[in-house]
Amino acid sequence: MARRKDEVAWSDPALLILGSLASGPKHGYAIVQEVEETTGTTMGPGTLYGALPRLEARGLVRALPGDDRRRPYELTAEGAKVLRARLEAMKSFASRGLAALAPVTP
Amino acid sequence: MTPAARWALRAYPPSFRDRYGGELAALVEDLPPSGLHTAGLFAGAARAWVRPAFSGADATRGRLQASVLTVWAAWCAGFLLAPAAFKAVLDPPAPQVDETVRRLLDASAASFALGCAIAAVGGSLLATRTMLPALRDRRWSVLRPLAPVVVLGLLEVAGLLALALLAPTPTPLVVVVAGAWLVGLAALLVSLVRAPAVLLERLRPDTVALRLPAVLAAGLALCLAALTATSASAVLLSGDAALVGAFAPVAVVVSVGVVAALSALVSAGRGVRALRARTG
Repeated sequence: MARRKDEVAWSDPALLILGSLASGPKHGYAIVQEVEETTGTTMGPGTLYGALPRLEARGLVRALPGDDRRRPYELTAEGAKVLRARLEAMKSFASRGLAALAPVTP
Repeated sequence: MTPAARWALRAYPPSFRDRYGGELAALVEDLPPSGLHTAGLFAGAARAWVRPAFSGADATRGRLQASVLTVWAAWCAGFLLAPAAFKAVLDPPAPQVDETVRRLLDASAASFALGCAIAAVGGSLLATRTMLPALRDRRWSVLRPLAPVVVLGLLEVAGLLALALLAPTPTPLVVVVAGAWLVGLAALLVSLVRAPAVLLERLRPDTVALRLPAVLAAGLALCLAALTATSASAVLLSGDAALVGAFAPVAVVVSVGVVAALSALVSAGRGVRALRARTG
């Protein structure tokens, strides 16, 4: 399970996996480590391998040749496009939210 | 890795274990043991059964094989609804069983017969296309998964003959034999589901060999849906005649039939979509 102790979460496993692969190909353990370090979200193996096959089936990530037990994955061009669109939307949402919040912040 | 985590990994569908099993097991070994992780693995296994994802060059083959096996498992779980409905409604026949109920039971029997015929044709096709070449190559080990089916099938026939001989005099022995026969029937159904799953995992038929069985699986799913709808309607319309004194077993059998029919329709639909995407 992807777990974060915030009351308002944004920890969609597919987004976290795509975000982690943005910095280069990684295998499962490296994805879990990076997600935890950068977002504070603990992604369980069941969650990671619930989302990864779906991302692969949709052509957003691809498996690279490697050991069957340590197979690295990389972002595809389509995956990078989807991630960019999602991050732009989040950036716009964050900017608007922060601007609206500024006058009421003590 | 904890025993619970090992069980959770075994709970994933064969197609998932085949593709991701090694790397998922390696990840579980790398992470510190955690009950939450194990719970997440069980949840992931359930998701993988309900919504499997297939990718790569093997995607269509995997999808078709999963559809064929799921529909077959659903048929094995649900087809007994037809004889159960006959038993509940007509044994003994109640005065309130009208013409509509009898027609529904006739439709249920027709769906049952058609489904059995489709299953026999589909099974023969798959056996011809996968097992025969292996047997020609003298790979006799492919027959091994069928051994429990043959043994349990013979025991069930023997049990049925014993019951036919003993039934006129209801004694404790008849109850014991009938109970054993029902347990054997459940075991036979489980082995009927397991044997083709093991065989197809080992023999890995290609997409061409699976195409017609996948279309037949869609027909079998429709037969199961019709059988379930007509049998359940007959039981419900019969009301007290079918349900008094047997509400729990009838409710269980109808519920299993409904879940099996829905699973079969969903899985067969995904198989047909994969076929159309490949040919279209």
